[in-house]
Amino acid sequence: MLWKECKSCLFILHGFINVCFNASPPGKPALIGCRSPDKETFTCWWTPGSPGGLPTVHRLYYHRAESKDVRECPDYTSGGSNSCYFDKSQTTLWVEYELTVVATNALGNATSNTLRIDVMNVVRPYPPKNVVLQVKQSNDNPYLFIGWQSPLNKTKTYGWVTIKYQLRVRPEKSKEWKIYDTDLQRNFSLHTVDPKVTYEVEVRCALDHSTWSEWSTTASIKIPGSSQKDRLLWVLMLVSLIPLLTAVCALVVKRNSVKQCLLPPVPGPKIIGVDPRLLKSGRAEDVVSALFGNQKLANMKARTEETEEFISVSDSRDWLLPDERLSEKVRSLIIPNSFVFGAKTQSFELEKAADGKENPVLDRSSSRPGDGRTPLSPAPELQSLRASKDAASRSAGQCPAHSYVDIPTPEDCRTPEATSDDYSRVKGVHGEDVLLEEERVPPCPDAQIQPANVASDYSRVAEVNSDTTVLLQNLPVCKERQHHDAGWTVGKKPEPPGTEVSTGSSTQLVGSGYVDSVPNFC
Amino acid sequence: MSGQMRPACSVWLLLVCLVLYSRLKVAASAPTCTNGQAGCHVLSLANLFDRVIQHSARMHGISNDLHSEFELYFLPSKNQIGRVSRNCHTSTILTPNGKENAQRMAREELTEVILKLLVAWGDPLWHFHQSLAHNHEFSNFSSNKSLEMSDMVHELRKGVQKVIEKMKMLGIIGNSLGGLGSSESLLAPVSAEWRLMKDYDLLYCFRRDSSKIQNYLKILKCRIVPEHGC
Repeated sequence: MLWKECKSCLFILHGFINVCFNASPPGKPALIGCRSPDKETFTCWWTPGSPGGLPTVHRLYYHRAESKDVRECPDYTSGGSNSCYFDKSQTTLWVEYELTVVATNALGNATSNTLRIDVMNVVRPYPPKNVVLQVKQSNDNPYLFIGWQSPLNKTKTYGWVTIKYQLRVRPEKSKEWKIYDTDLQRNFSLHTVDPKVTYEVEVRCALDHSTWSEWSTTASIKIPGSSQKDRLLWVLMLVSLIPLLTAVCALVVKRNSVKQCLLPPVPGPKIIGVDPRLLKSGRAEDVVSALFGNQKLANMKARTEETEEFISVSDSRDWLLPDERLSEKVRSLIIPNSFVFGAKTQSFELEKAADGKENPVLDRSSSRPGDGRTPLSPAPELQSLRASKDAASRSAGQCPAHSYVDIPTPEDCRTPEATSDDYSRVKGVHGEDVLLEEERVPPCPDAQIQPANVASDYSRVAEVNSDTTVLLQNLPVCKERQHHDAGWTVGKKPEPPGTEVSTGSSTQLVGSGYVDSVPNFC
Repeated sequence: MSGQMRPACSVWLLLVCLVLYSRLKVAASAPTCTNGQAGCHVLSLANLFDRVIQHSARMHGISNDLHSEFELYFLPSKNQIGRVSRNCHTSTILTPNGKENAQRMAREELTEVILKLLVAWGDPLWHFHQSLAHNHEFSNFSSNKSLEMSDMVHELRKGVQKVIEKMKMLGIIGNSLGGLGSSESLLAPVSAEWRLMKDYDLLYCFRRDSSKIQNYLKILKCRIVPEHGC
């Protein structure tokens, strides 16, 4: 019993507490505004106030300015939540509406502010629909075609609505829009577009003098990069490269002939009738023969003897040679007076030779295609001879070109030569016959290249015969490049050359036997 | 005989030339269409309508600008309660308040409404301009606009009258608009209430009426000379 009373008490208390502490009359709603998208209908929106805890109902009441007839909103749903939609029959233009919203709940109601509007003043269309972008070509230049649709459903308005459009374009990375008016047209062609750039486009519209709509959703498109012009340019470039490449290839392949064409070998000086190689040899007889050449042929004495010779070297001036032939030979070494080198010590030897021994050294030299005999003598004649020969070799200048005459290279020259392969040595001239020497010289292996420190001007001593005689050696070791002529040997008589003094040769071997067509200038 | 013939010939030639010249002149000045040829006149009526509509659009634009400017000056609350509802002096003229109403209205009636409005605003705008010009509070810009507005009302009225004449000539509308030529018959119902109106209210009223005029003209044009876009 007491328990039942307590229960009812608690129940009442509970209800009372609920009402007192959780619920309240609704807050004041606020009318935001109205909008007419087509000059025939309009919609108004409001925001509700604080809910108050209890279910609240909102109602919109309106009346036209000149009449006192208050009506309620005909449609609360078509415009969304918290809205009121007025259809054609409810819409009156050029008339002021006064609108009010009342929020009601169990505990009370709240009235919003009154909104006075003239429908013609709140006309604002929705943005255009379906903005379409297309890139088209006009004379190989791309242009942007923009199309859209009217926001109004009806196309025929019988002149009531005149819609005008405006669009704005910008490149993707730019921040500035460019605005274009299109009036009544629902498309636009933009020709000032750059290839490979993405453009953004937005469109909006207005009804006569109404407010502009919002901008439509952004449409973007990228203008393709390559045009026909670019493609043609690339094709032309490739085509023009092919002959260039073939020319370069041809040049590379034929570089040798090109080199010869562009840098032709420069011929050395050549005096007609003078054999430059003989001048370079440095030997007296060679020099004479070079200068006087064929003129002295009559005076030539054919030498049929072998190429072996030796020189007696002595300190004193008046040495006597037992061999008549030898003295003759020696004398023949003396440069005739007509041949002057400019050396100081030549004067007396010239006198010596003045007795008619104008034997040119041609005979000697003809039997030996090579030269390179170097006298060792401290004897003044030979000294001078050597000096003169050196001078001769120096003055003779450079090595001859191989293309002119097959002349063996002088001592100072290191040019490789192929003469040893192509020629045979002349043993001697017997009348009108030229006796050739048999080839006894084996070909040179590379291992036999002599040390470089061996001077080319000297010969090795084979043996000392007596106090006054020194036998020199200049054996041909092999047939390869030799600065010194392998034709004559000193001292030892006919022995196969390669046996004893294989290392004594002062020859220097250069090269391995191939011919280089490019001349070397020493 | 030949001597007499020569001056006579020259006189005859001169006459012929004069006749031809006058004919050419007539031909150039007036279209060669006759009343019966509908194609010829409809085209020109459409042109007239276009011009008139353009004019009215421009007029409404100016009135809009002036009204906005005045709003900035005076800053009246747009939605203030308790304000005396404006009573424009043209309120007595019955005007269709929507698209359907305007379409349902007869051509003559609609045309009459347009003309009445235009006539009603001639004087008030002129006086408005005068008051602005003398009042140094307002800028030259406003003063120039008010003058332009006043001139436009007059021009538009003339243009509409020409259109009416054309339509009468074409037989599109009957001759019921007999008294339209004289403005006094139209002004009589419209009292001089406008003198009592304040400038801002006057501008508000005119903005509304110019919008009406523009819309009615467009409706009328699409009804009479329908073309692409109607």
